[in-house]
Amino acid sequence: MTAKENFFKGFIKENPLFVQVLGTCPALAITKSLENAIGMGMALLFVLVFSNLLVSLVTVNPKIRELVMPVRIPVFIVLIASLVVIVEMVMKAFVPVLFETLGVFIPLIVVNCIIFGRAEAFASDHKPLESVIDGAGMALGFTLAIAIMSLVREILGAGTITVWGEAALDLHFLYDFLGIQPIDMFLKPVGAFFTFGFILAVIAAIENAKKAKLAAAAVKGGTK
Amino acid sequence: MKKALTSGLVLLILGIVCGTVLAVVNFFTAPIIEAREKAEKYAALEEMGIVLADYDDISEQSGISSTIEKAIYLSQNGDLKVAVYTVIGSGYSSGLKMMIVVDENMEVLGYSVLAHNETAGIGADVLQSHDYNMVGSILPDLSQFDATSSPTAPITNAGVRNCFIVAGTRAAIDFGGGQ
Repeated sequence: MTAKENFFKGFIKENPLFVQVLGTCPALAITKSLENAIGMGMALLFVLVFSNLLVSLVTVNPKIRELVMPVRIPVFIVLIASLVVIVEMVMKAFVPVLFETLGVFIPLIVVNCIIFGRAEAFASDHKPLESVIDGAGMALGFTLAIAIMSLVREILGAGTITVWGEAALDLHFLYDFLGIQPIDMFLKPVGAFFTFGFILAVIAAIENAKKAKLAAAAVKGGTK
Repeated sequence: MKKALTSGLVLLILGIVCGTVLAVVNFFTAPIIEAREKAEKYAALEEMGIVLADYDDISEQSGISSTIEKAIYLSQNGDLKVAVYTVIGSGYSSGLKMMIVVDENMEVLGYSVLAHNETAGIGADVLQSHDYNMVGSILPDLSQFDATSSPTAPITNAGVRNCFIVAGTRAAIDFGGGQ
C-alpha cells in the first residue's frame, strides 16, 4: 500500500464512521453544529496521530516490543489517556467555549474505538511514519463524516452553518423564500439518529448499485 | 515471577514518563486557565456594579464547605466591605450554583446563576424572573420568595432559597452578624 492509499483509505473506503461504524457516540452527540464537528475532529486528529506514533515507536523495536506486548492493553490506554488529558488541558486554556460545548465527549476520546482499534490493528504492526499517515487519514475521514452530519443537522435544524465562533452563515433567507421553518427535531438526539441512518442508507444504496452494475457486467461478459 | 516484575516495571516507567509530560503541560496551561476564570468572574462582578478598583485588597478563599465553593473578599483600609460567595444549593431534584454578592450590611448587591439543571424554557426562565429579584434584600430575610406567582416556582424556589440561606449564614460569620 502506497502512502497516498494509506492516507486516503480513511476518507471513503475505510471511513471510520460510515463504513466501520466506529465512534458513533460522539458523532451522534456533538454534531449539532459544524464548529463542534471541527473541534472534535481536531482533538481526535491530535490524539490519533500521536497515539499511533507512540504505539508504533514502542512496538517497532523487537526488544522493547517483547517487553510491551504482554501488557500492551494498559500501555496503549495509558498513552491514549495521557494524550487526551493534554488535549483537555490545552482546549480548556485556549478554546474554553468549545471545551464546554463538547463536554464529556472530550474525556471519552480515551475509549473511542477508532483510536484503540488503529493502535491495536495498525500501529502496533507498522512503522512510525506509516502509522502517523494512517492516523491522520482516519482522523480526517472521521472529521469529514461528522462534518457532513453536522451540516445536514445544522442546516435543517437551525438554518445556519457555524464555522467557528461568531463566523456563521445564516440561511434563514432560504427558509423565508420557501415559506417554511427549520425543523428543530434535527438538533435533538432523534435527529442525529435519523441523519446517521439516512446517510448509512444512502451509502448502502450506492454500494448495492455498484454491486448490481458489476454483476450485470459479469453476466454480460459471460454471455459474450 | 520475572515476567510479572518486568511488566510492572514497564508500566511504572510509562506512568512516570506520562506523568512528567502531563505535569509540564499543566505547568503551562494552568496559569492561563486560572487567569481566564478570574477575569470572567471579575467581569461578572463589574456587571453587577462593583468597581474592583475601589478596593485595596482582594482575597480569595476556596473550599470553605460543601456548599460554599469559593469566597472573594473585597476590603477597604483593612475593613471587609463586600463578599462574593459561589454557593451550591440543593433543590428538589438537582443542584443549583449561584454567585451571590453581599455588602457589609448583609444587603444583596447582585447575584447570578452559574449552573443549573432546570428545564430550558420552564424552570430556567424562572431563575431570571422578577419574582426572584433579591437585589436590595437584607439576608437572611427571604420573605420575597413566598410572594412568587409563577406556577413553576416551587421547583426552582428550593434551590435558589437554599443558595441565599447558605450565603446569608456565611455572611453573618464573615461580617459578624451584619448591622
